[in-house]
Amino acid sequence: MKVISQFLRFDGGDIINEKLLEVKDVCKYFEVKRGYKEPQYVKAVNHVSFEINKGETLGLVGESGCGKSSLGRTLLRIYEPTSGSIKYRGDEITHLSKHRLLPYRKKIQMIFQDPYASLNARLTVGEIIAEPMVIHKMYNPKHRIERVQELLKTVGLKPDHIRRYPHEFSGGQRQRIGIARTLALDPEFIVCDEPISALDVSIQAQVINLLEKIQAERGISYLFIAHDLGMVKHISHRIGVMYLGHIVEMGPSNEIYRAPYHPYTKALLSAEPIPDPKSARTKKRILLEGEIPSPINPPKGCPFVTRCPYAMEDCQVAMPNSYKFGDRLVACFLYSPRRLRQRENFSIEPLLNKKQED
Amino acid sequence: MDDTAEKLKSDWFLPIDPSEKNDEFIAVESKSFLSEAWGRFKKNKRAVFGLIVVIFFILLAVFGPLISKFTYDEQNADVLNVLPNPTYWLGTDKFGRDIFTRLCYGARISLFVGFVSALINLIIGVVYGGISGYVGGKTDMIMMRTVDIIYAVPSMLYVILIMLVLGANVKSILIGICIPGWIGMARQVRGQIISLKEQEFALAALVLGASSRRILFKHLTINAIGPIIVQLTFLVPQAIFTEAFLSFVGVGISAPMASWGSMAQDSRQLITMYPIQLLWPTLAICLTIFSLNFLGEGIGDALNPKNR
Ligand SMILES: Nc1ncnc2c1ncn2[C@@H]1O[C@H](COP(=O)(O)OP(=O)(O)OP(=O)(O)O)[C@@H](O)[C@H]1O
Ligand code: SF4
Ligand SMILES: [Mg+2]
Repeated sequence: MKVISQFLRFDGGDIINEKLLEVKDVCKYFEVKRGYKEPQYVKAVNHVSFEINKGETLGLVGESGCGKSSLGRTLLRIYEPTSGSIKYRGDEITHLSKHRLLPYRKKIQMIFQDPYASLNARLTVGEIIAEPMVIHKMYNPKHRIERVQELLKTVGLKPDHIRRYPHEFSGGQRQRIGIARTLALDPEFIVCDEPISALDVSIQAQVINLLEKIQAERGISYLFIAHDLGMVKHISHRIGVMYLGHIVEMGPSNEIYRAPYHPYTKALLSAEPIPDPKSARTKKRILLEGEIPSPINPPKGCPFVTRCPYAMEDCQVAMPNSYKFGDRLVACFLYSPRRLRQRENFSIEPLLNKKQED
Repeated sequence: MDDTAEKLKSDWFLPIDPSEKNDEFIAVESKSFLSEAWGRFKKNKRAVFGLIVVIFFILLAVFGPLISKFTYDEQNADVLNVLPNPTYWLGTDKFGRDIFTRLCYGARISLFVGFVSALINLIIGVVYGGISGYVGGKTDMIMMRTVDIIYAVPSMLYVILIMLVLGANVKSILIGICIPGWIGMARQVRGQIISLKEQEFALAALVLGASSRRILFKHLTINAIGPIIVQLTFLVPQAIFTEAFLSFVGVGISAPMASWGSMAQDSRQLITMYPIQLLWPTLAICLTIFSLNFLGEGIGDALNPKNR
């Protein structure tokens, strides 16, 4: 236990210790029908719980198909949650009717991955950005135009772009238009579903900077989805690592990056290219073997058991709980109190490294 | 994945120099969507030809009867079956009626039936198909099975049955054409809506709080406008053809009213002696239908923003 650091340090903007979003045990199963057989279920999101504070960014990483988008979309009620509860500022919004959900729509927003598909090609930029204000009956038409122009400036576009059509803009500019549309509602929480992965590398940093600037100015919280750790590490205060619908590890981003606990996080991190050649030599690479199992037939016990280099007997039969170490949560039997007691005299890291060598 | 991560070292994430801030430029000159579509349309020769011919027939339908000195049912036993001449521009038929005047009235009926039925089918098809595709699930299943049943009955049967009840006139032809006529449109729209509703712009509208109606009509249908217009431009000639066919076989417009179909039927008996009498209505039908098809193709291409 000695090694497990228990201190909390964030290096981004100010986080106010005020729970904005509480997600508890949320599941999203998609029904898939195959002919006349019994329907099967894709368990895209499986008992996921977390909280997001005001002004905080929670990064969500995981391989393609692990359920990141499904989780983000379930939070926004694009998909109806199969079970669990979603609370916004303490209000239960999990099953609110469309009509009763409307006020919350102003506060919980989303930025999409594909800047080409996320804007209606038949509307002008002005119409696109004004639409949320029209829907929520905010301001009068003249004031709306002023607001649109202000928002365009905020996101680094020119106010006279208002009459243009989305296809006249580059990917990065379109993503800015999408961000402006979101900001028209003054949201407090935004799900960013891989907002930069469709952009040129040279533009990615600009969009990230814009998102950070907006966060600093408005105290917005983000759920920032990406499929590799490097991308989210910079912007996130905390990181959740997702595998096959489960969050397997969660904690402050620099701690996870410095000392990953869960075998899957270790593998993800070791797959990252390392900028510093010195540490590159000392760092071991754990390569993931095999494919990610199908979410229709997930493994019985721990979801990672089929690819885990440390898999034990327990792992085949039971799903590990999430064990808490300070601010970190890890869902792996290696960190169960029983195992830890057995290894009281060892710290976890050397033990794991030893096992890795043989 | 390695690739992006490699390029994404953390020194990328430094504030950029303000001078670099707006160095993305607008790639395409700004033009409104419609003026761009018009530009593309103009370049298509067949479509422009189609448009001109259709406009010609519309003018003929509207103003033809006004400039003609005769009425469509005025018989004159002195001038049976005359060939085209300065008085009777296209000649007369076996009852001595002026063919030009009758052709103009025929154009009225054909175009009226064509455009009105297309409009009705458009509205029903878009609303029905849109709701079916957008709501999905059981509703979709029930709505589509209903369509299958309506479609299973031959469309001629509807026309003939309606005729029996309402008599042989334009109204019953219109109703007869419209009962099964919107089905193609509904299927087309449904397919489009199903693929569009999963796209991110539709999800974005949902997340912004847009009502289903707003999403369906303001976002989805407007993005399916290309295929809808193409479908629409095929509905018009199809209806014109159906009307002409019905009148030709004698269950459509009844004498003495003139329709291109009934004119063709009347002149059929004289085909060996006065083939020119058959030529006029046939030419009118063919020209109109071809032109409408060309026009439809041209509009479809012009509206597709990928064809820039
Ligand atoms: N509407 C749906 N119906 C059925 N299955 C779905 C649906 N949406 C997602 N899935 C399935 O759920 C699983 C998780 O998908 P999801 O899109 O959430 O993954 P992701 O982590 O966002 O992946 P990516 O990085 O590729 O975006 C996948 O197996 C996917 O096939
Ligand atoms: S619970 Fe077992 S299989 Fe799962 S990650 Fe931990 S050691 Fe590996
Ligand atoms: Mg995704």
